Amino acid sequence: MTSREPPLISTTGLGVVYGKGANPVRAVADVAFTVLAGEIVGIAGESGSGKSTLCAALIRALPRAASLSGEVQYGGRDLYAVSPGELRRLRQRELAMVLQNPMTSLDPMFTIGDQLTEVLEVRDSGGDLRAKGIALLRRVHLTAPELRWSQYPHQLSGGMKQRVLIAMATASAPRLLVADEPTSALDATIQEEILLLLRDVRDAHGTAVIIVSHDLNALRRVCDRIVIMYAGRVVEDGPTEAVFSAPRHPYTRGLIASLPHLEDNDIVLSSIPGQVPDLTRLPDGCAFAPRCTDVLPTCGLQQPLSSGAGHRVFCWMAEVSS
Amino acid sequence: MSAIEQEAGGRGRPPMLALACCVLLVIVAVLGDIATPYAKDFADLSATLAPPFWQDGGSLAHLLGTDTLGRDLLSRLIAGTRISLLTAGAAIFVAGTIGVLLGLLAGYAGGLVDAIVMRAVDAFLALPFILMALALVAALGSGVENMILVMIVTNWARYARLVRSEVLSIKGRDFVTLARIAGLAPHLIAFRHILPNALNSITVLALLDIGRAIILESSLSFLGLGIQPPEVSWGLMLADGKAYMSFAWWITTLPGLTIVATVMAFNALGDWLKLRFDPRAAL
Amino acid sequence: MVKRLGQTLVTLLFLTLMVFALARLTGDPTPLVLPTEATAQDAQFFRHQYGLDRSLPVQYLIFLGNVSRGDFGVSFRYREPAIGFVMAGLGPTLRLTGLAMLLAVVVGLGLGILAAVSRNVWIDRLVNLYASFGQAVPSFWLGLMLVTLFSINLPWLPSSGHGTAGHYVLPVITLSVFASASITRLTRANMAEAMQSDFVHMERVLGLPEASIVLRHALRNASLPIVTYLGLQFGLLLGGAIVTERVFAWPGLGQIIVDAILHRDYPVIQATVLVTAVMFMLINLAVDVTCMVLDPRLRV
Repeated sequence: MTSREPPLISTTGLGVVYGKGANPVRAVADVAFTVLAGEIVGIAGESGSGKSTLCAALIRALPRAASLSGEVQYGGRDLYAVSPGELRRLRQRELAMVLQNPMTSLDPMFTIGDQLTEVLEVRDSGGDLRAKGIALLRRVHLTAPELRWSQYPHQLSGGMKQRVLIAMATASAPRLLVADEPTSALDATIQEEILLLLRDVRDAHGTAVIIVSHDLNALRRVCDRIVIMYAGRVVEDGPTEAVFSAPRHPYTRGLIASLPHLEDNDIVLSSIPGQVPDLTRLPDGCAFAPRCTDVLPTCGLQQPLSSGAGHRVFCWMAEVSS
Repeated sequence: MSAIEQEAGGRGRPPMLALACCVLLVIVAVLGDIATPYAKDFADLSATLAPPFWQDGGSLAHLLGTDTLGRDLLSRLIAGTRISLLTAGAAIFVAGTIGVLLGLLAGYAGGLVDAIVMRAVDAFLALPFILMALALVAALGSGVENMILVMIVTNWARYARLVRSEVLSIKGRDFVTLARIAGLAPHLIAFRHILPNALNSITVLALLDIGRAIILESSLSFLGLGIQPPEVSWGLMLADGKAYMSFAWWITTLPGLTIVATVMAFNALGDWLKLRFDPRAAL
Repeated sequence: MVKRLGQTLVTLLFLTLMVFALARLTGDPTPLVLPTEATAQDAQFFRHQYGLDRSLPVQYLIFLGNVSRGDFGVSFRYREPAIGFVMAGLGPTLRLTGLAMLLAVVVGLGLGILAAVSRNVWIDRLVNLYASFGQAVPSFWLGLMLVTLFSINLPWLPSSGHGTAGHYVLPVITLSVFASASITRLTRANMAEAMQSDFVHMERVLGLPEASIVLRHALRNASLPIVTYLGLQFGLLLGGAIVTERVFAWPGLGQIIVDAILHRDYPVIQATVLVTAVMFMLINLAVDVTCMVLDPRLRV
């Protein structure tokens, strides 16, 4: 998508801090990020990179203990200035989220049908809600939807529950769907299906999808664009193939290199030396500097600025070499 | 977690007011009759029905007023502290010991012994404890020793149940199996390994039970079936003042408030301890 | 389920043994029942008539046999079937206990939900204060205080007796305070926990109205431990009713059993205690069934 249409959602200088007092946790710092309508964006990074926090911040689903700085613009409005009633309306019609743990995201006391009906009712759906609900379940490829309708969550497998949650999230053809590690809790065989399902949702409704994952290979399959995060900041952001074939940030290079791959009939497993930094004690300069092989003196002193337009990277080294 | 609990529990500090009250009560109970300004049954017939010092007609000689026989209320409250706390304390201690032993037995032995003990526990818990207390009192008579007995009988069951479930949950754990393989005798395992783990819950239960026991004793004394004169009990004082409620409110109200304050203090301590031992149990 | 029934039966058996023993513990009723001029022969006759001269185990077996047929014998004092007295007192006591339970549940649930959901620290503190106070206050003292306030100082309500709706107010309130305090605490804790669940977060993100989330979803999930506790609470209420009935001269089981104990009227004692205990066990069974209905995960 190269058109200069306004982004669906964008953030500038977004920061999220947990906890007050002496050692607050900077989960996300200074993130400028946009998503265009109908785009599938993957956000990758290790645990603690801030990707889940960023997602929650994007649709105003942060826990009460978090404090936000910066802005989130959705459809031209400041999302955090919107009234609670309007927020609820947005959540019903336009913003949707699928969470990491399908096992606990459904109310164990009510049937799938009851819960889906409630979601549909709230979206002002008229008519035969059961028929609509079952059609929805069929669309997410849930087998035997009539049976599942009258069953309880504990009678469904993780994969099935995740499909139900996606059905609920897409019940009103939202404009933005955020999926936070939608496949981490599922078997490997189901993971691909769920990801393809998310792409189907975009294809059917033009929904923009943000997928958060630590699995780069999975993201490569379905995303238009990849964003790499490290220690709460965006380090690289570009079209999927560009990022994979010509990664500009040392961390990205390290991540891609550490994917299990074959070399001369041997499976190679390598990893990036060092550890993810403590989010309560981040250095002034680039957080990746301690582990970086191409480190420059400036890296330890200042945050790198972005360079490049369609394919951004935050790295002094990259800036120097471009 | 309530804001209050958070304040106290978060800083690891017990609720100070409650702790101070409990300590004060224990001290008063131990000092007993030494601490009273007047002898507890000293009847000053010239100063009957004197109100507390802050009301008209009251004086500093009798801070909390007097009853129909001119007995100083403050002194009697202090004297009653000893009876109430000691009977409750002694009863809970013995009940707890019996319950713990039976619980250990049931949990460790298992099988028929376990079944028998647990059915007994169920049966004891099936009866409202006041009912049992009344029956025992009628059988054995009233008075301090029988009060203690009554409270023992009505309270042991919960300790047995608690300890038994602790035993069952610990029994399966590795370190117990290792101890058994190493040839350690069962009762040693029980005492040395299982008991310390259960001690936390037992202490919490005991603290919360003291309040219950005090209420039970004062209920029975109120009905005339508990502590008998010349001993003093808060419940008894309450009953004495029943007929004079409309014009001598202090005879009934003050002992009642004392009971409430005492029970609240012990409960607060027990709750704090419970939260401290198991932060997940936000009860 | 069968195992549960079996256990209940064994407990019931144990209970009859306990009741039998307890009643016998109250001593020999003969001197109390017979007039003072009775001779030793009369005493002998009396004992024989009531089977008191048989050995204890035999007495127990006879007792067991009779009880299973619903025959609790005849009151020593009044020469009428013991069960009659129990039935007469059962009505008023059940009405008192039932209403108190209802009030306690309404108040307890209401305050508990309020405290759990409200963000206002003062509401939480007040509710907790009420809960702490309620669990510490002896019911007979509360009853006396209420009577003083509302019957003597402000003559709005009757202080004792039974009959009009007005007679119910003070006894029911008195009896319900302890129970409502416990229910408040339990509700508050469970609701607070339920409100932290993943599915509640999910429901908010889906845009469901807050009222539905709190009252339909969170409450339903929190209710299981509360319902379980209600069974136990009923037993406590029955016990509390005995004392409260004495304060308010309420013509229920409390009066009957205290009188029976003071006069060593075995049959009435036995009848009252057993009926009460059976009721308690039935309530607990009902509670178990209700739990199965409420929580689909328990339906095997």
